[in-house]
Amino acid sequence: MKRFLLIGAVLLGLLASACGSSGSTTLYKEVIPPVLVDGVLPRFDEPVTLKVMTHDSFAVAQSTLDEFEAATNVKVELLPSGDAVAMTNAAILTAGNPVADVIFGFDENLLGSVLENKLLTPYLPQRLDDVESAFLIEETGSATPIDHADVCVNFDRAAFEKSGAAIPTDFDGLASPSVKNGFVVEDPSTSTPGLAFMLATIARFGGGDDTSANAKWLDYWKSLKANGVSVVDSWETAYYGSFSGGSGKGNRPLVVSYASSPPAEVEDISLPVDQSPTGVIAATCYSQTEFAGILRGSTNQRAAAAFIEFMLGSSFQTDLPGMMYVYPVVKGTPLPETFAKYTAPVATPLTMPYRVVSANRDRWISQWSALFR
Amino acid sequence: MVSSVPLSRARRNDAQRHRRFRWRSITALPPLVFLGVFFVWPVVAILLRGLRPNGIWNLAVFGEVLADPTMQRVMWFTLWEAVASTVLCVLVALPGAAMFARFRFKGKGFLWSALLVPFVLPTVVVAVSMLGIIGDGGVTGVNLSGTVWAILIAHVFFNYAVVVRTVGATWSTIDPRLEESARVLGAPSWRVFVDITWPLIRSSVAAASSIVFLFSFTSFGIVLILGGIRHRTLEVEIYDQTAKFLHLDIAAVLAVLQLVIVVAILVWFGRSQRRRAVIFEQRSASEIEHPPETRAQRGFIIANLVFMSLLFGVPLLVLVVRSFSTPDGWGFGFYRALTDTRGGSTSFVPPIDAIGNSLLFATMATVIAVVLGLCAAWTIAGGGAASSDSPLGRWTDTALMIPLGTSAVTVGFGFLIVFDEPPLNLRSSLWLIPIAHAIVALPFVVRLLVPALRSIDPRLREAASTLGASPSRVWWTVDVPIVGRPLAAAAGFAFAVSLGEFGATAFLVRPDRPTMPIAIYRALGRPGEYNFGQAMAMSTLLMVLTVIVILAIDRFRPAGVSEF
Amino acid sequence: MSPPFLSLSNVNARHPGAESDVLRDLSLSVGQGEVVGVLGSSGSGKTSLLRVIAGLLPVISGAVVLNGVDITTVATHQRGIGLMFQEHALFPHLDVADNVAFGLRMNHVAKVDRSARVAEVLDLVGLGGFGSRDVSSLSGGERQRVALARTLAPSPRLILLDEPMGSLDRVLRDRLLPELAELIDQLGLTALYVTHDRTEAFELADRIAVMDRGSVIQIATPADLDAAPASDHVAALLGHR
Repeated sequence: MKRFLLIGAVLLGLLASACGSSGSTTLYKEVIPPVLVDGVLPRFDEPVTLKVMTHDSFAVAQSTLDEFEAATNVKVELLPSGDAVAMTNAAILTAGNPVADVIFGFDENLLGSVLENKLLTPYLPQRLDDVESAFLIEETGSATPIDHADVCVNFDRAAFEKSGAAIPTDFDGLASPSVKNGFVVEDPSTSTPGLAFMLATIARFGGGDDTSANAKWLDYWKSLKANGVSVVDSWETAYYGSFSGGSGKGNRPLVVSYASSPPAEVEDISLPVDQSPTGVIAATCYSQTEFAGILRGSTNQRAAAAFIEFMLGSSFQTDLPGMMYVYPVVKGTPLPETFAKYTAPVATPLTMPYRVVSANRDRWISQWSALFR
Repeated sequence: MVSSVPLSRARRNDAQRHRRFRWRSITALPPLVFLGVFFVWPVVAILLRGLRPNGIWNLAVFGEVLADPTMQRVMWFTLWEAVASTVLCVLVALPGAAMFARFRFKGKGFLWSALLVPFVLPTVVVAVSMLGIIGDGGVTGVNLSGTVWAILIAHVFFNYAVVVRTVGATWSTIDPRLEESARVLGAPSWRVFVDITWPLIRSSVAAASSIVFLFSFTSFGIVLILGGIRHRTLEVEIYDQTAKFLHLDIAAVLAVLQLVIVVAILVWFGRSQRRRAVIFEQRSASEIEHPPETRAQRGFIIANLVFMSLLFGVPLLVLVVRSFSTPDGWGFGFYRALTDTRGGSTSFVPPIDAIGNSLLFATMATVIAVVLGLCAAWTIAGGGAASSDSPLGRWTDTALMIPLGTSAVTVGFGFLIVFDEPPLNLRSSLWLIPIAHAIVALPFVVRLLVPALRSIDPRLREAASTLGASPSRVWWTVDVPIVGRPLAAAAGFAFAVSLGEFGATAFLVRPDRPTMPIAIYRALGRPGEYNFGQAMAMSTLLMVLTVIVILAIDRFRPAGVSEF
Repeated sequence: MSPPFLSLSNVNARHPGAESDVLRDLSLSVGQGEVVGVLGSSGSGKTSLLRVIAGLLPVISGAVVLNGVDITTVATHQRGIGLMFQEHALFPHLDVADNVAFGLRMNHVAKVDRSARVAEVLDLVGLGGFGSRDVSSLSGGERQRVALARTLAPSPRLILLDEPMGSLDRVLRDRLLPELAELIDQLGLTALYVTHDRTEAFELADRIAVMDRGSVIQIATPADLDAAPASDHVAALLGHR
């Protein structure tokens, strides 16, 4: 009798999952009609709670969200869901019966999966016209670009001044003996900036079609490896653990981080400085756009559409740099002072079509791993 | 003619035993149902999603994964680093256990409690501190980051307290006259240990080793951050396959493999622990401990204390020091900055909120864990010493430990697919967090309560019954008061575990009610002196809160005997 | 007169961390083959005396000499002295035979000889055939005898007995005491026998040392002691009114 109780618990689990729901698979073919009325957000008669699934780095001013609620009577409830990849996969797992109404924070590298798995109900925002054309994707209306960030190699100014070595200005400079053992990168299979940097090298050196171990971009990585590059699991470990500049506690003066890291370093320094303690090597920058979309199966489609429009509005876009250290996609959005003073937007960042990335990413990561593991 | 024979005493005992047994079957239900619903169901669901997509079994993937050399390397590495961590931890912690068992010295009580702090700190905090010492650019200049040694050292750091407190507690009850007799009979010190002490502490070493092995085997944050890219354990691989690549089939195979190994190890340890257990008359610790008598003994204590300061003091000190070292000089700048709203960002976690959320969830988790733990402990040991080894008890004990050996992301993703419809539409519910914490705390609560229940003299219960108390009254008037102190200790421990819990809940989709560990992790997610400094400040606060809780627990513990 | 077999000269000893000495300027001589009873109330230092002789309590000043050799600083396991505790302290994980054989093992006695000796000693204490018994299954009297056997097996030069009858009931004690006395006599052992019980001391001892507050305040034969107790305290200990 006693044993059966335990077996019973297991059987309960098996039974439940056998009969359990597997999520609806109905394809929603409808497109949500535009919600703005004369360019103004709609106001709902009954209060609505809108669940927004985001990655853990999401941040926006509470006052901005309050502004949205005041205008539309829609209360936003945030659901942080891990990093961008984990969030996307959680959404895929629950496709059709989603945890939230809106999903925000997947970049081009994940766009392929999002579209393949039909996670989203299409919506064509009226404010899409305000967005810089560089960030628009072919399938307009499937997902909406909201912000972009550049992943670039950051350098420690003080370390280079002290050593007298020249600050590298491009990829080749990173493999030069003068910065031997001075560079730390993140593992592309576990880190978004790490992946971006790897893609940047493919974009720069080519050979993405080459499945051999001698692809041109892999040769570059071999030279980095010979030059003592350190590979770590995540941005936190790289920046705080290995990087020597700014708030980093390590001793390597070069790290893969963001174009917005230098202004972040300056933010809290009470004495005004001319330059941020860290800088960016513009030639290594790779552009990443973040998208938002309405999850298929949501029961609050209109409210979700209103939020998407709001995200393209000036309050949200202006908020972005200061809150999330990313750049707005809407033309003409003013940047905060620290951004203007301590960093310059990268004119021509490297980029790759998302379809190409989607198709080849796993293979590229395997090739890279073969070199480093 | 046969006259009616009065009920013999044996048959009366049988009736009582039968009644108690019925009660114990009922008390087995809540914890088992809880685990069934919140653990077994989600895990089985996600495993089935991987192994039986679209209703068709795909068991060939087992063969593929097992044959894959990369996976084989991962499995092998996980096994041997877990064994190495366990052996190293036991070797290094035994002298510590001896010290606590035998000697009295200043600060002993505080140190005994403080040792638990590393165990409950979030892994990300510890890993970053360790990097500050043995990482690239750490103060020692030695760079172990990315090596197995970093992982092993970190595992010892986390699990030292488990061995010291479990083995030390048992050791402290061994009558020193046994060792003295051996010495008088001609045994030099090392023989005393080998022939007398070791056989008596063997089973508690086995108990401690099983926990250390479990934690090392399923280690995630440590391996990820300190092990670099070359060293991956099953847990890391499962996370990647599930959350990063959504290869649910591969993930399922690995998760099943991990489960099988964990259960096998638990059963093996449990069996060897029981087989080797020697019942000896136990003395109370205060009778036995004495101040050091000889230079050698003083030296032994000092050596241990130095070792502990190096192992624990330094990384934790690094944390605290960094929390005070602001760009404007030494001070409370980072602590003050905890209250800085950063322009009202939604990601800003007011420290009061973080502490409040942590305390709220910890309270909820503790209540769940204690209620269920009491039921489970009663099932295992409710019959007093007589019930020491019922099969139900053994199985329940093993069953409770299994969640500790299961990947958190497996459970988390399982939650996503099973709790999607009313009445259990819990996917983004607040309750998920304390439930997850309770699952992790439960086995510890049970392990603390079982010895206490077992030690209740059945004659006390019999006396109460003969005085007219019904079974439930007996329970209230005999068991509960006796078990009250260990219960308080168990509650405190569950509370501490919940405070520091990070892995189980970090990767779930969750409502935006961040706890302290999550606030720390968030602060570390963006660059800037103040972000890093605040992470250090919040970590220090968490540490202080934990020490307070643990110190309070230890006041409630009965001196001496208890499994960890 | 032959030199004393065991002598303590002006020994001072203190428990670590204690505020005062537990043995104060204690001097005592024991002749070979003599049984000295040590009588005193609790706290008088009787047990500490035995521990000092066995080497379990370090000496602050003074000397302990055994058979002409100064053993004051010699390690416990090299002194070759037998010690029997009140609670017997049997090793719970070993059976009776292994308990008794322990001292022999430590002295590297060959296995064959060990078994023979163990059987011999068990017979001596009246527990022949008990070798494979589990110590937890023994009665109080049986445990005491196993403890005694264990102490005697390595043929120690001197045995110290710390209230060996303490945990036994009166009936058992009355039966075992003469047996013990005969055994000690038969083997010609030198023994120090600590007790708080006057009857035991009187029955076993050739001389009785009375201890109070860490020193020997009187040492004499039982008869002389009875006749002329040195103080009221001694008289009270002896049960005089």
